[in-house]
Amino acid sequence: MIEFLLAPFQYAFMVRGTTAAVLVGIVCAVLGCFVILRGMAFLGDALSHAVLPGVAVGYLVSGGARGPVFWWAMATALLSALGIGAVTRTSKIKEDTAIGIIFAGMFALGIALISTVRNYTADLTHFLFGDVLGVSSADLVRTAIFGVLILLVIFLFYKEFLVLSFDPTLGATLRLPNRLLEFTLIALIAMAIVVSLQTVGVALMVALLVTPAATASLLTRRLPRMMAIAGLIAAFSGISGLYFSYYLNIASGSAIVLTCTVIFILVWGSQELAKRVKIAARAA
Amino acid sequence: MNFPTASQTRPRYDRHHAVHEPGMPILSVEHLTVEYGAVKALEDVSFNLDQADRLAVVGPNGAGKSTLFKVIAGLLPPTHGLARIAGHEPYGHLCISYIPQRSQVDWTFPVSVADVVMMGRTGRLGLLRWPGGNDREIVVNALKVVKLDSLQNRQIGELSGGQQQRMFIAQALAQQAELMLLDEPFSGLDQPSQEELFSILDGLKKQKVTIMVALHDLKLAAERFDKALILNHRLVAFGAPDQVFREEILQSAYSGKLQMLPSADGHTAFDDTCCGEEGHQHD
Repeated sequence: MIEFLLAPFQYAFMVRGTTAAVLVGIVCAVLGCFVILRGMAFLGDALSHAVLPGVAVGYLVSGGARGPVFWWAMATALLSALGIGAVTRTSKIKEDTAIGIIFAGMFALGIALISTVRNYTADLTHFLFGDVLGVSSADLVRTAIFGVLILLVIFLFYKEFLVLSFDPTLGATLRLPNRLLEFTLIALIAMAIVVSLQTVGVALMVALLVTPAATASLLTRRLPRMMAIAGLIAAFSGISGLYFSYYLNIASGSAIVLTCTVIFILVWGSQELAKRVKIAARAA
Repeated sequence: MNFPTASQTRPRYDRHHAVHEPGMPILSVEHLTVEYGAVKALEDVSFNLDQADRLAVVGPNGAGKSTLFKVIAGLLPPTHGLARIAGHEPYGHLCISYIPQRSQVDWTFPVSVADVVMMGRTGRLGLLRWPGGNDREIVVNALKVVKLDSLQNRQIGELSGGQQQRMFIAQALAQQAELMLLDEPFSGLDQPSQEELFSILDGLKKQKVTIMVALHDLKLAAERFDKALILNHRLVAFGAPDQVFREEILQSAYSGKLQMLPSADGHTAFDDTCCGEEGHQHD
């Protein structure tokens, strides 16, 4: 058993990959609590797809080095967030429509750029579905720095984010800088997406933001506890996902996301079952 | 409850935090007009309120009551005219609380009653500061005033309708609001809960809190408020309830959508027939 558990970690890339998966999982899960409370899941999904052209440009100009890809992706994510805000504010177009337009357009641009490269399917797959086992020490350091930064900002502005999520009108009467806070939250999501790119890729990214937080919301009715539980679920999913990946030889990103999904189904299913049993017992 | 002065609690980030001009009315609304495109939601509305007044705002659905509240709370800039709170426009004021209709609140939100009341402290605390002992004391006192101190650790969805309404009043108290705007607080409450709410509003009056209430129940408006205002885009009538609630005025404001109900003591009671399903809870 011990050997079974330790075997994957004889490889340094597995240790780095697991560390990255746990780190990124916790950051996304904690931030994800605000994402689901504010109803920003679609925005999260859109932003993660919208970074693809940034990733592509970074990749093309650097010839595959990870550092530039990271910064290009970051800039693209923030730019897309600003673009969605600008379209919503200045026109009659509703926010979810604006998100749809920008997300699909950016994603298409990303695929177009990547398709100009010769071995395009292999590279595209990495960007779309992640490559957590290819995480280098430099990647890990960047992930850690930005992860800690995101958690720090959430901690510092917790009471403002709480009011904004509960009732933006209350935030306005309390004279909180609503717009700045809203944009900060979106910028944090953008950052979280970029640091998670390598773990699960753009296509599955939204699962890290939404699924552990949603599972936690079924288990508690207090936000701090919800954040802690979501973080634990994400960390557990990161580790066990990589075990599945190692032993069953499935893609690591999808193994992590599937673990999150299975945990959600177990929690939701058992709660529904308990409800049915209770109703049946009352009827009997 | 003691109210710290504005300078003690001024948030650091808000350079425009408004101070109160001595001698000015707590609220003065001057020629207020709000247009949404070509639609006039409010047209040339003017009135004043004194400190500790309790005003009932009535009018048909879509008469501009919510718009009026939003302008007074500083959430919506008027097209023409202005609202002044103790001499200054509302934008920097932390002393106004707007209590939303219960149907607009997400009651599954993962917070306790005490958490929601503590939210009222957020503006006065300012950024990067954590609630301290003083804030917790204010929250506990506010919860005692509305008689919810024993339920403070409950998740907010576990409260009854009347308790939910009182929780928001406690939040406004924690905010140290001097002008409270309540949107349909009595809708959907049974008689005992309404009475409980009134006894709390009576207590607030003693603390010199000015209160504006939007409501549909004209009987409550006529009997339990110092002043009444009938709004139908324009100000139809404003003043003491017995001056305002006259048949000819009401019929013109509601253009016939009003039932006249003869009551036991020979006076005429009115019932606004155009409110939503939760508006009718007369026992």
